[in-house]
Amino acid sequence: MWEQFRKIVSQSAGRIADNIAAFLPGVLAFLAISACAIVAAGIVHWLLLRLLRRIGFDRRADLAGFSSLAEWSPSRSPALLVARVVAWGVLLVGLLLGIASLNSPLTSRLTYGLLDYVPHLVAAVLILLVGHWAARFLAHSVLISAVNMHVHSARLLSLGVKWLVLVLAAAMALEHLGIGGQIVLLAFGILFGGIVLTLALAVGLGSKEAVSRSLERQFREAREQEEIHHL
Amino acid sequence: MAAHLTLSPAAEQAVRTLGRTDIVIGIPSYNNARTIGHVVRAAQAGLIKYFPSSRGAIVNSDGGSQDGTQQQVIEARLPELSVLQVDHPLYPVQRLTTPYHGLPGKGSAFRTIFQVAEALGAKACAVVDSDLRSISPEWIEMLVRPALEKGFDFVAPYYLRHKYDGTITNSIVYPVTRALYGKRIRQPIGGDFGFSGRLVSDYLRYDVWQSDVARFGIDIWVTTTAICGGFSLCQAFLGAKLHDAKDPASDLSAMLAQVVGSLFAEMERHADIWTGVSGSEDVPIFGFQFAVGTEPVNVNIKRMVDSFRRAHHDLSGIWSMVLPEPTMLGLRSLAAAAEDRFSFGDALWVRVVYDFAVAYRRRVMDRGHLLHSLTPIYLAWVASFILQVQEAGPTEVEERLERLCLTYETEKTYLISRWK
Repeated sequence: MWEQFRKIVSQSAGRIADNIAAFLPGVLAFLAISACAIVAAGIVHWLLLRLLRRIGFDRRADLAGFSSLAEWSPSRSPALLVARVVAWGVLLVGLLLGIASLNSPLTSRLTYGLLDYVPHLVAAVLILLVGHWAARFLAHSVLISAVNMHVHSARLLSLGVKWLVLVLAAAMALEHLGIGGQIVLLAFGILFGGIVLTLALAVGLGSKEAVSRSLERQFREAREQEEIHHL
Repeated sequence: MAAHLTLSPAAEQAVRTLGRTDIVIGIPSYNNARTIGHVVRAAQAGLIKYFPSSRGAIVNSDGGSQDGTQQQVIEARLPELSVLQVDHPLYPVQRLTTPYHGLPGKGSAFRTIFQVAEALGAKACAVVDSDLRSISPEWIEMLVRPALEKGFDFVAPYYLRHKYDGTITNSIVYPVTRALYGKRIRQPIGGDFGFSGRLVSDYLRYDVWQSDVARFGIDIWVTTTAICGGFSLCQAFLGAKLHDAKDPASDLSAMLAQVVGSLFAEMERHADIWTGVSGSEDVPIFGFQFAVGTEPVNVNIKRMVDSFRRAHHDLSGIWSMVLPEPTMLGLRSLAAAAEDRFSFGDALWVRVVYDFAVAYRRRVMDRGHLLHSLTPIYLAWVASFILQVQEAGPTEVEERLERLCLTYETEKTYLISRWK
């Protein structure tokens, strides 16, 4: 009996040792990949930060219409923000590769699931960036044109256009990420339709006289305009 | 590189039949049936009366008029003179963009006229607008003779205008051109010019005919190219200039953006030349100068001032991307001033224009936005100028503009320091 007990313990210990022996290379690979990812992230961060600062990225981002980016950035430096985001991205990809090397079904599924999601995430970020740029560009266009046309609510119009484009971009980004699904689209449709309906009702009913006074004033001003030949 | 002749086969045949010609008068047109007959008759009379011993030809380069413009040219021509009708290419964008002078693709018309003049071996060439009501045969003499007989290469027009007219020219184009290139050409974008055959061939060397120059920047381009090319310059006194009736205040913002954009683009192109120029010199004026009466002009100063004040409230965020803090403070004080004390200082205005030029070069923001956002500040300058010269005569007005020009010249160091 003692012999049998010893044999079972020995077999269990052997199986555990075998399992550990089988798992250990994966752990070592995980540690090695993680260490490499940390080093790579550090190098990428250092290199990217130097490059972006050399090309004056902070100033260029400000000039290109991404001035609000500085407010969200560490030390108010968009270059630092971009370098950190990219470095964290490298680290994350390294960690995912490391987890995959553990070769367990759960970690593999998690890794591949997350990696599948990355393109959607990138696309959503791109949509938001383009949306932000377009919103700013259109807001400036509307504001300047409205001011030159002597429209009294130029700022309000410009703000409306800006938020409309931002909300549209956010809805598109969320749809790309698969968050909310149809609810986001529905909410956007209801919101947009609501705004248009409100404006139509305001113009048609409540503000009829105010609008007609405003139009009349504009026509009168157009009739009374100066006769200067500017050229 | 010399441009290839791109005329229609019929026009090429006409050029070959015509043979060598001394003088070419170019008339670009696009839907100018109401006025072009008068312009053609004046040009013909000018050639016959003042240059009877020279071979002359009139070239009408039309951009595809639909109102019978070409028929009017045929009806107006005299048998003694050759009138050549050619088409200039009008690209879709040119047909869509209505330039400030009302003629789409005027640059392409200039190119066609230059090509014909070169092919005919012309010694002198003049180009006149087809919407002129005040053109007389004397205009042809004044524009052609300096180039044909007196050795000048470029003849700029010199008009008499109402003191409130030509404010873009008076406040920006003339003083900037003078301060930058050192030549006092009073109407750099007048629209009617005379050229020597040598200068015509030089223009054709440039490959600018597909750019904005061909669309709406041809007037400032011919002027600055002649100045920077070291050609001999003069001006021709033409009296009053009256155009075909059109709404003068229609889309001021687009007109200002096109004119100022063309001026700034030329500034960029010739930066290596103007940074080495200081002061300015007179350019000789030909012709007997006389005073002419001008019709009174209605102005609405309150509307201009209100427009600036509203814009100051709404556009400060955009202006602050272009203008440094001291200039913004100056505009703030101006916006707060009462109407009877509304006075736009010369130094402040000049710095605004120079700061916009620098911002245009650095692409601080979209160039269209930048140029359109200048309109309310320009209107503030116009209002201030009108308030200052309401009671002034023509001489006092010119003195006032001379002071402005001198400020532009003095402040050029500021421009150069920011440009580099």
